[in-house]
Amino acid sequence: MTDAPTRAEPSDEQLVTAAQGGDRRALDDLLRRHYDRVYAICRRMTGNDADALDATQDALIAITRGLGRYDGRARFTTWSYRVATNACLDELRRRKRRPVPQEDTVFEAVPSSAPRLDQAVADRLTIDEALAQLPGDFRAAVVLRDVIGLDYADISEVLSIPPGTVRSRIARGRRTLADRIGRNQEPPGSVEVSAP
Amino acid sequence: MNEPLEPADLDPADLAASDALDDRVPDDGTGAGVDPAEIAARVEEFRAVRNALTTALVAPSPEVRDAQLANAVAAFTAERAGTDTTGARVPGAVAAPVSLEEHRARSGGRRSRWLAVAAAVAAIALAVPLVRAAQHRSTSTLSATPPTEAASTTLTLAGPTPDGGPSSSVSSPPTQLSGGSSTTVSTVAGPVGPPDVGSASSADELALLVQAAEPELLSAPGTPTTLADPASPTTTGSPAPPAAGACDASVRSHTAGLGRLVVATTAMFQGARVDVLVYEVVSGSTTSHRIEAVDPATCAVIVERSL
Repeated sequence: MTDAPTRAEPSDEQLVTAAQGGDRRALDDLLRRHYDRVYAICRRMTGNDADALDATQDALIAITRGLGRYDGRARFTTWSYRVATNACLDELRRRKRRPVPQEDTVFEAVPSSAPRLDQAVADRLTIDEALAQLPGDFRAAVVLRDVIGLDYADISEVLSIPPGTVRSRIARGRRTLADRIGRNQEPPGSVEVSAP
Repeated sequence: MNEPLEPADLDPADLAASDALDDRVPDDGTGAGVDPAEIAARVEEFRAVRNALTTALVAPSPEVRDAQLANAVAAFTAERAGTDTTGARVPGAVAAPVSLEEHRARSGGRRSRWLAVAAAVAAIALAVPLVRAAQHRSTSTLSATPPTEAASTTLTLAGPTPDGGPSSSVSSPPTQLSGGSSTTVSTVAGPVGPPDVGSASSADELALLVQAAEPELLSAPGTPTTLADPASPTTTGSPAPPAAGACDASVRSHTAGLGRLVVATTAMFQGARVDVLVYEVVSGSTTSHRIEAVDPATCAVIVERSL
């Protein structure tokens, strides 16, 4: 026997078990391991940084609070992405009820002397605008597939819809995004964006 | 943002292209009558969509990330202790799941909560260099300050997927996405100059960092700060290096109504160094503050935001 296993990184399931037993360090490691993906889901689902951070925080807290009832039947990733996706859909529903700020978060495209930042901001606007044109459930299917890399079966489980519906939503979502992004390829000028 | 529209109708060629992009072999004969060249063209369209989705994702700063994780762990601890995060007793609440809506109803302002934690973390992170800077000033030492280091984050996504899904090894400035499942935080050396307030990926984050570095702006909105006159832009209680305020005149010509310049510092914004100027804006008897982040090379305004 070697001692190699003792040096291996603990699996999600091991961290979950430890966290369920009250190990805060294990919980921190578990959340840290998945933070980027949870944030990526939320960023693409909500379309802006501020709402993404709110949804991410909600998702993290929902994961910690729901950990006690997580029974391991689904993989932790699948379960946590479902929680994150629901947090984002909640955020989108809340956003519809919020008044739109008129002043904050104004981005002004930088003149030609700073093309890198200018283009980065323009790209983000284009992608976010295109995604905003997709209903939340279509957006979730595309994001879980193209950003997170889940397979259709996992997406089906996360969204609680049949695999065939996952397939058609991804195809229709991609078509809508392709049309929208293709239409927005003109050079950007001065752009003002109000936080949704 | 525009309101969502009804997505495109399901086109067999799109379905076949989508399947092909995901390396799926349909068992229902989808795309059987479609020109293969047409499908190939659509696959490339969808691949471009995928690339667009995985680039330009900017990770939150390490300070914000740590604050959010700390907040979640704190909620977990409170839950196990039988209290919610506001300290109220929750009967039988050991490890019991609480719905998101219930959590919100209890905890009140969600954003203010984690922003406060993030501000505290950022303030602690900034305390050491600020104290050191103060020590430099108090002894009238004229030696150059060591180069500051601004943290930049690498958002790591989509590690190996069981189905051979998209590998997110796409990178684009200022963000890099790479394969793997762990978080990587690296540091990049910043130029010699005024102290950075940190690294931000959004206007909200930038405001948070400035407020953490200059807590007077947080604590007393509407109250004029007691800082130096505009001819000598200062950070709180200390002379600001002139370089950070060099775009003052340009900013004023761009934005009307700006009052006294009360803070001049620098930050990393979306991977690029920016000068950050904070102005008083007086309206009647109320004084508020406004952030202007500018490109130090051109003085072009990149971010404008009220504090």
